[in-house]
Amino acid sequence: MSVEPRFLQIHALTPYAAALLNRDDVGRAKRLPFGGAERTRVSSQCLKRHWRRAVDEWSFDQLGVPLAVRSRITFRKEIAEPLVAEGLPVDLVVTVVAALQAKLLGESAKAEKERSQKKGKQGEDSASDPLERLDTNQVIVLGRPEIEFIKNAARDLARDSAAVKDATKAAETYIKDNRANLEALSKASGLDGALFGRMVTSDYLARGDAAVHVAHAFTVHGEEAEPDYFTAVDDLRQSAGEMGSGLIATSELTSGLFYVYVVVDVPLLVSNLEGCDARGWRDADRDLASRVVEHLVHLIASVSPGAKLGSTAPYGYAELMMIEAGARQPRSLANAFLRPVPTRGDLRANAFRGFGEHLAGFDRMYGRRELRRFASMVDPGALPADPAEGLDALAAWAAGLVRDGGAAA
Amino acid sequence: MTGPAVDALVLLLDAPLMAFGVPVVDQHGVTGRFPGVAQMAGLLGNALGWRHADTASLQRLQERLRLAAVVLRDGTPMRDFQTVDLSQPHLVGTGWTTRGRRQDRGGGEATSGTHIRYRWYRTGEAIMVAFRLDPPEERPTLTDLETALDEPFRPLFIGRKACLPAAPLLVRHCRAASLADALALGVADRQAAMRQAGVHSLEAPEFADAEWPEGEPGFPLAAGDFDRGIVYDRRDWRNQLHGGERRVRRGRIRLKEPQP
Repeated sequence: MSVEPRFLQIHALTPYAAALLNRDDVGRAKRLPFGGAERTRVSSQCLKRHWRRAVDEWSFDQLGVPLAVRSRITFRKEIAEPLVAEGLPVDLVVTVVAALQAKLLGESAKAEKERSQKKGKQGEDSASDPLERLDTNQVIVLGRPEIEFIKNAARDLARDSAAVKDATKAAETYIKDNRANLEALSKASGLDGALFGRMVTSDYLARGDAAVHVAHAFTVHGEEAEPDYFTAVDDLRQSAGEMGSGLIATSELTSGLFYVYVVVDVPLLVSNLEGCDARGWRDADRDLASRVVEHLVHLIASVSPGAKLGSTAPYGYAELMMIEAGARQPRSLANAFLRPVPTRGDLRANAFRGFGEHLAGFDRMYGRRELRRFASMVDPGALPADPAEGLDALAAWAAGLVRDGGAAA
Repeated sequence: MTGPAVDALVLLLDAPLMAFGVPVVDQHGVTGRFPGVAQMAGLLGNALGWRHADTASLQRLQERLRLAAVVLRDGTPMRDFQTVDLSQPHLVGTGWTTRGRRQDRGGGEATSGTHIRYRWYRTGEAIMVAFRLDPPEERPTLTDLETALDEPFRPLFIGRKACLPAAPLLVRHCRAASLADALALGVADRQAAMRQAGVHSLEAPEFADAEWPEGEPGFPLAAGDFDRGIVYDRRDWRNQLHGGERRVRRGRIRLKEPQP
């Protein structure tokens, strides 16, 4: 089956027992009325916050190295080359883009000069290519709105200059006049915005759309909650002969098997990370995007959205995870659980079976056009998907689809 | 059924959480009862791959939309409590704009502390939507939209990004006597397909709550059979503001077997 993996749909079923993962304003667990039964819910904001702040081998911080390798030609390829192709003189373009680049990377004028001189000494080839001055090893993630903005500014500056001297002067003046905005742009660029979006209310041209869509997670069965009565005992008072009560309170504890659903918009993710147009995602470097996807799959499987860490140890790993890749409109499999899964008998087996049956019904009704793989701790029954050998293999498979743009699919 | 035949697309909005955007004035992000024309234009534009900057196209599509909707599975309103810590590093001093000036949140409490938002949703609901385009021949046509909905440019969502659909939105492209008949056709179609696939069926009631544009043929005409309403569901896309009202009628319609 030849499939363009434009959308990755990630489904997970993850259990948590005796936890209070996500609370509302009165301290109760967040809930969702669904299919006639109240469910325990974890909001998408809560899930995203924990994934982006996770500290482990798969956290997004660990992506620093490929980031640096990848971002070195962004300014050259996405800004300078298109401007030269428009007919603007190379020397003027390089002058203004280098100045803007230095500002956005927080580079001093001296460092930029040293870098460009070094590039000039690297031999005949690089000396004959003035655009190479723009290659940098610094880390920067600029999305399409940022690239368009910088390109427009550079175009205006280069067009209004007659010589390199004028361009240098014009760029200096521009940077001085727009210092706050350029610093904000530099600060706003990054992995976080690329994945989860960035909002500027007054300017839709500067808005960065999220490439990762996250549904609220909810229990596949009716809520299972218990008010937990607790007291805090004052040991000092007790030893003084009093009863020692310091506090009496209740908090809520819930247990559940949660359905988690995430969609990755692969062309937009590549665009947000590489600054290319989303339509041209298959022509861009997709290495970082594929690494991001691999990390995200691991984070979804293993990071707890939990609060009350000390008193409930709310750590759970996904027990079933399935990823679909395709170009068809993504849809969650939430309705597998519209009828609450019976808690009698083996809840997990009931849920996995219901999930597989719903997917099989979907295939009968709409046909199957996605590539699918899953990893599961137990036999999930008749799930219409191919097994992967564990989570590592599943995540690597998804990353591979992004890396080769589906060519090997 | 008399009256001119219409070319219509029928969509099913079915998700655990949905929001139907209406004007929001404070920290309460309320939701409407039915999807509005701006929301549908945005959703369709998203499917086509339009960008925020394509305001003229979005505006034009919004003007052309004639939209009717019926509740197939009644849901429950839900209020989600949300907080945001505005002093987080990625939220301070990062508001660059294409105007060259940084947009800040002003001073005082707007830049620090925890802000509270209440976001309202409809939960566990399924709504069927039928729309036509006026005039029909202009691009994008219903056929363009049909293709785009099947394999959209971006993942589609119903009101907010967390509101991911639990079923394909596109039900069918049909020619019917009216939008009311298109809705009934869509319901019958979807139910037959679900029965055939052996999938737990959406139980469509014989009578259901609906909203349709004032003057749209095919819907109840007797004065006692509907309420008049005004919805504020238009958007001035260029200026990014809600603005403009639309006259609608609301009532219960019979999802009868439609005329062929």
